[in-house]
Amino acid sequence: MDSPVPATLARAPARPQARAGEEACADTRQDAPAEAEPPPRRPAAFYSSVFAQIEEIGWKQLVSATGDGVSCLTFRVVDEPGRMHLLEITLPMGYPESPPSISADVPYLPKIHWSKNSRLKDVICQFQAHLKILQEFWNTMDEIDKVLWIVDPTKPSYAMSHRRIALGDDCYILLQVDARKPNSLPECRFLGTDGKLDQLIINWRKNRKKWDTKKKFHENLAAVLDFALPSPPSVGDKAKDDEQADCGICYAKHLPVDDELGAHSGCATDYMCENPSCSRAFHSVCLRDWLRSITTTRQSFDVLFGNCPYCSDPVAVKITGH
Amino acid sequence: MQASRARLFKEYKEVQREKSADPDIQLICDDSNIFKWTALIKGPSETPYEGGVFQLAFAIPEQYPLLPPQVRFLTKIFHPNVHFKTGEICLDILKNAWSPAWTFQSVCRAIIALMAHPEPDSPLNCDSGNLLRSGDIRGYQSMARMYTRLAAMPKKG
Repeated sequence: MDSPVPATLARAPARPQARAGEEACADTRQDAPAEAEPPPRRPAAFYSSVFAQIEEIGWKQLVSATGDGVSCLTFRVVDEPGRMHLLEITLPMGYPESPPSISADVPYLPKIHWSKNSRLKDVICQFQAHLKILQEFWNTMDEIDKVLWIVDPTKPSYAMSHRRIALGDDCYILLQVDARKPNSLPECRFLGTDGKLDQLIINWRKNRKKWDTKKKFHENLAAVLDFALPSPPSVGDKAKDDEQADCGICYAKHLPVDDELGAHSGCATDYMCENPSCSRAFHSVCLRDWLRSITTTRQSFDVLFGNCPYCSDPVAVKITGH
Repeated sequence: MQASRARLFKEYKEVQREKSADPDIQLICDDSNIFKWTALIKGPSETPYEGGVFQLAFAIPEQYPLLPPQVRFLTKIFHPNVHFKTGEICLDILKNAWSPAWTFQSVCRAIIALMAHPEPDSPLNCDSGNLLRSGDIRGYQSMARMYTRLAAMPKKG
């Protein structure tokens, strides 16, 4: 189901008989009230023209329209492999003589070719062509995410071209992939304890000339580092469960990285309900906050006693820190 | 604030993903405010609310999910546990029996259950509660059906 067109769109004057290519009529402005510099207004033909162009593209693709009714349009664009993108088109006051500007979650934006006779559909087509060019980049990033142990970002956006890859023994390589030439040698930085990293840095400097743009990215990386890169962690059911458990209260795997949380900053769920039928996971911070917020919680020294929010079995959480 | 916002985004994604799972409940998040939601729920069958579509407003506090969302009917409804003028709902899970285990979807499900099983002993609508307590089931159902037809069904013609 498509999201409904927001009510603000209804404010715009719309003529049912609006036709594509309709001649713009002169602005028959009424006697302006005696105000200081009223804000500039769109001619009436602007709205009928934009409506006709939206119809041309398809109302189903229109996600939202904001601004003075239709000055900022967001369209849903699906690329060939099926990735869904949101393209935001902003129509400046000088439109259509002035070109619209665009915004999207891509590593770089295309340069839009525009003349005053161009239509919004042309912008969509140019964006689709741009998405086609970016497929190689996204395929490379998808393969990296699949084959290597990515610790950051955990949920990459389409625009992100950096990856922090775990090499084991608390060593990491931070890569910046060139979105225009994704198979070329990436920029890289090494993070972690010096002892282990020294050899990797030496290998990188010595071998990076061997980077082969025809080989797969992760194969190149392993060859240049002369190192067996670890796979994403997925071994063992227990480890998998621990990795994937969301907190039953905040619905996140990891707490936000925040100074206020102290030692718990960014940590995974660390408490599990002991009822075998429940086994719900929580951050102890979230569970503690919940227990503190209800009146039935009991406290003994530095331990809070209460009931699981899901199954009501007893739970107990230590009060640590402030 | 940060935790509640993150949880709301997760619930929003879940709602988008399971859009067609429950035909009786439709949840809509405000375009510009993740802390404001509305819902459309169908009146349960074999009740005087059958055939009606009722709109609910959700106002989510900053401490959510440690505190429950504030839910009220926007559509007029003749029900002992719903304040006729304000739409306030007397339901324990929205007050002292709240738990972070509840989601908006399950809250709507609980409200639908409340519509099917009114509790006249704690009324917010005294007229409705009195009818039920005095045993006038027909009178209560007649009034409820009338208001459903007036307020919760799309006008014909």
